[in-house]
Amino acid sequence: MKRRGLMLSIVLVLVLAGCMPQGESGDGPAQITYFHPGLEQPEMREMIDELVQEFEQKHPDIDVKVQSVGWDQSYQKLVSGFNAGEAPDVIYGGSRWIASFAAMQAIQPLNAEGEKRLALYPKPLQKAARYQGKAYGIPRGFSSRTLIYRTDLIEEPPQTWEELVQVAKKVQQEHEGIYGFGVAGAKHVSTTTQYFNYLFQNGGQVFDEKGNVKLNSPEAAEALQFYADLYRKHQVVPNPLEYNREQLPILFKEGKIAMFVCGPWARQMMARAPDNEKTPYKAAPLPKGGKMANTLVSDSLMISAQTEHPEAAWTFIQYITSPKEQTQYDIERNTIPLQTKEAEDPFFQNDPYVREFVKMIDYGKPQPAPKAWEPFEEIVTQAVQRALNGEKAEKVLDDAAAQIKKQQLEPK
Amino acid sequence: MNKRGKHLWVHILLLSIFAVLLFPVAVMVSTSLKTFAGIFSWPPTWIPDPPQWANYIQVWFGPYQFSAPFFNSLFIATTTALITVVLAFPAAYALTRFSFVGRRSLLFLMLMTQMFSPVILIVGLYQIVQSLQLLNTFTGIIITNCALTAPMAVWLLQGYLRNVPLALEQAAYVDGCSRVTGILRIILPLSAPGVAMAAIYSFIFAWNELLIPLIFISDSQLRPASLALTDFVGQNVVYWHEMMAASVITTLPVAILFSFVQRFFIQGFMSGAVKE
Amino acid sequence: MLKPLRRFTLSPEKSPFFYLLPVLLFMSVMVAYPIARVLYFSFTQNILTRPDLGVTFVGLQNYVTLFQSAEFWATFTRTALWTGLSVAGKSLIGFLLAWLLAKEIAWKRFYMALLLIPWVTPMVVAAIAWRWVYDGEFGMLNWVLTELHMLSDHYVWLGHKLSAFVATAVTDMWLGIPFMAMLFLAGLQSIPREVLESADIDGASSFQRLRLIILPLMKPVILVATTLSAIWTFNSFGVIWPLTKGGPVNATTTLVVEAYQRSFGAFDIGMGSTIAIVIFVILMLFTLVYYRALMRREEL
Repeated sequence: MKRRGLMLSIVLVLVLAGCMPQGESGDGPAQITYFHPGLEQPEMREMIDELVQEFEQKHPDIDVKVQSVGWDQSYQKLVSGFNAGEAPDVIYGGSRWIASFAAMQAIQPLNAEGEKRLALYPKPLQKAARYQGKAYGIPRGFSSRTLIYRTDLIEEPPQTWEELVQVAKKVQQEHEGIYGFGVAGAKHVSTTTQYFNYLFQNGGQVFDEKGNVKLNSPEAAEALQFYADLYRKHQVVPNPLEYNREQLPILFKEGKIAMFVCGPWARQMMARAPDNEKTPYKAAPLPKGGKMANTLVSDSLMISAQTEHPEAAWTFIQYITSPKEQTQYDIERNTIPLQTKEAEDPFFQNDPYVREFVKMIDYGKPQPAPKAWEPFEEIVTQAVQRALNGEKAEKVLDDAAAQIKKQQLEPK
Repeated sequence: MNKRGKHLWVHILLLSIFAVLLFPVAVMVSTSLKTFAGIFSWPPTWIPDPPQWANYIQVWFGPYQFSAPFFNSLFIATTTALITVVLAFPAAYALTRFSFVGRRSLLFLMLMTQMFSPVILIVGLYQIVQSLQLLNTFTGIIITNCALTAPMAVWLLQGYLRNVPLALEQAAYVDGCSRVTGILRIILPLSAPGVAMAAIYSFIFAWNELLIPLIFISDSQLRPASLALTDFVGQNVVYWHEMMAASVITTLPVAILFSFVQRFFIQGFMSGAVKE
Repeated sequence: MLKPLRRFTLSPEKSPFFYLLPVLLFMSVMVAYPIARVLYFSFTQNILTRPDLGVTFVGLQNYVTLFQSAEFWATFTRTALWTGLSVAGKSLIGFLLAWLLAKEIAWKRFYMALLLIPWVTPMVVAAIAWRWVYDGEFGMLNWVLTELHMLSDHYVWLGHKLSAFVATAVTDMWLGIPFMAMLFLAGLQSIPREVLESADIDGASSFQRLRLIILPLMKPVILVATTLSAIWTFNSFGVIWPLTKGGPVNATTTLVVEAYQRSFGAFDIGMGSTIAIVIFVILMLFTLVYYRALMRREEL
């Protein structure tokens, strides 16, 4: 019997070790977990750790534990967590997730103070943080889009779609081994937002005010056709299927593409290597279609419905989104001012790169808000990939719209 | 054609196959020694000048702290191997020393279970692990790993035990030894190579497994190496050079273990199909 | 000496159950129960992110929907083709290697050591390395092929449907070739030398010898090896997911990838489980073939 006893005790020890509550006691500081995707990048991690430390010094009664997985896995982790009753207390995530999280009753509406804080933000952002009229999130990261172009190859940035194609072709004629432009087409959220820029500029809609899907309208099809033609007909972009938007700055920095559309963080990526005098760049407004527009993408801070410390969670959000902290955060991350007031900070006025992004905010359209984002993203990227593969834009968008209806993703 | 000439031809063929086969490994090692700027230079170089050995130090001690997930993996894989053997050895013994109704079905079941991809079971496993409150713990990953390695271990071990002669064991029983003592004193030492094989199989399985920790672990401190490798695919940019250095580090323990036991594996999988 | 058992007992002296109990208990909790859960889920409509649609018991509805959708059959065919392509590649190259290594040549140990390298590479590492090899702009594959003048311009291997399909299969082959080669080598070495030598006297050519003597003798080994490899390949998730996530469009979406996408992308647990059960049944058939192949040679 010795052997069995040994085995049992090994299993028992392991099980117990796993079950042991980790340092929880009745009257210590309130412990909250803060989930922030993508902190495996050491630079990001440091910034958040510092912020948390500062907060803990000022609020010794609250203990913040930072949790993180890659952006790729975050949505999946959070949904599983909600179901398992293991959700983090404060969640940083895409505002596009708010609708399904709120519908799942996984996050809770903010209190009156939260409503007040939300009023500090531009209108489209406020809209993105609401679900059925209630505020569920405080915007945190936020970005508009500009065209980033090589100043040594392009004198005047293109201002319309036609000019975009012309300029790109001209660059390719004059220079060997470089594409004029670059777009995203991989299975990634950025493929939807890149396409939506053109869709909005062409006067199209994803959903109308009543929540009916309008993705198969002629405007949307025309926009998708243009997007696909950049690759298929005009051949001014490298095969988009391999690239998501985040890889475009690398291609740009390495002199493979002369223009691309991206958010303000592109600068960090292009400047990681100090020797990028080789590819001098500037930001410019997007080339416009029927009108000027761009997709505003934002991230938000949310509070889990399962949290045992809603006050502590709110105090944390309140602290890190205070106008002073937010301005600091935005400047450090090279991003654009989030709160309307922030824009007055001289940094955002004087920096010629950031200034262009600030200008684009006025033309911003919020991301569409389907009932659940991820299946919607899958459907739209499928459609874009099929168009890039040579299928007719009308056909693939009809299929996509039908899928959206079938899965009841319309925000009605 | 004389014999030498013939063999030259064999060597040329073999070397060219291996040149293709080892191409990705060469790329991996070469990339792991480049600078971030170097990985994007065109035409690419095979031998970076100077080789950036610092990448390995950066990955191990630097902000990524790859040593932590590495040791997590080491713990998870070792424990998985231990528990698997403890579970599988008695079962393999029973399957080779007793005859009972359902023995063959049981063997078939073991074989079948080992064919499952974790993808099929993961939804159900998630629920179990959740109700045991073991999500986000090493224990959760370990018991799940064991569920997937135990059947194969039983299969490998019973193949080995069948070749351990009964006579020795029986002599011990005649001397008045109890069966359990007999197993521990005689069978276990005799089947040590088989046990090692089953343990190493489980170790390698646990070391390589990605899906289980991907679904079960959200605390970044608990991530094993396979999962941590995906970290280098950041939100913004893939740090190929550092990722490749980490990949090389992750491959080493498996390579070392494997070189000991590959011969036994073949026998295990072929048990029955090849007479030696 | 297998002792027949007459009545149920837990005595360590007489009964196998004492030894089997731990593993059986463990497996029923960790394998049987999860399968039962998955089976149950396959009869429900249950989308975690859509509480508005409700969770209901729908009987066989998911199976009906699945079997009626053209997309499922397309995925099914794609999986079969992908598995076939990969297993064929592994077997052919594996056999060639085994055949070469079975000859009495110098440096055998060196070659064997080289052969181990792809085998010991963890799948996720292999996927990462190949992803970089295939890269359209900076990948080494494009560089080598343009240097050899086999390619005039960069090709984005994972960006076209057909090439992504083949490229993922090649990566999977790469991981599987050493195992196949080793199995075949073991088989070849078990062929008695006299048999081959007698063929030599008869003046059989190399090819005739392969076709008439070696292949028939190797049949059981080949059957076992290809079935085993087909099972693993069919199950392969760790190669396709990091390389393409099933894209472009759905060119590399196999059943396993589809099941994962449904369960953990869309959180459609009902449909995800239904596909899992279908995979389960297919695997059972494969296993039966493997088991038969093993049993034919030896009484277990």
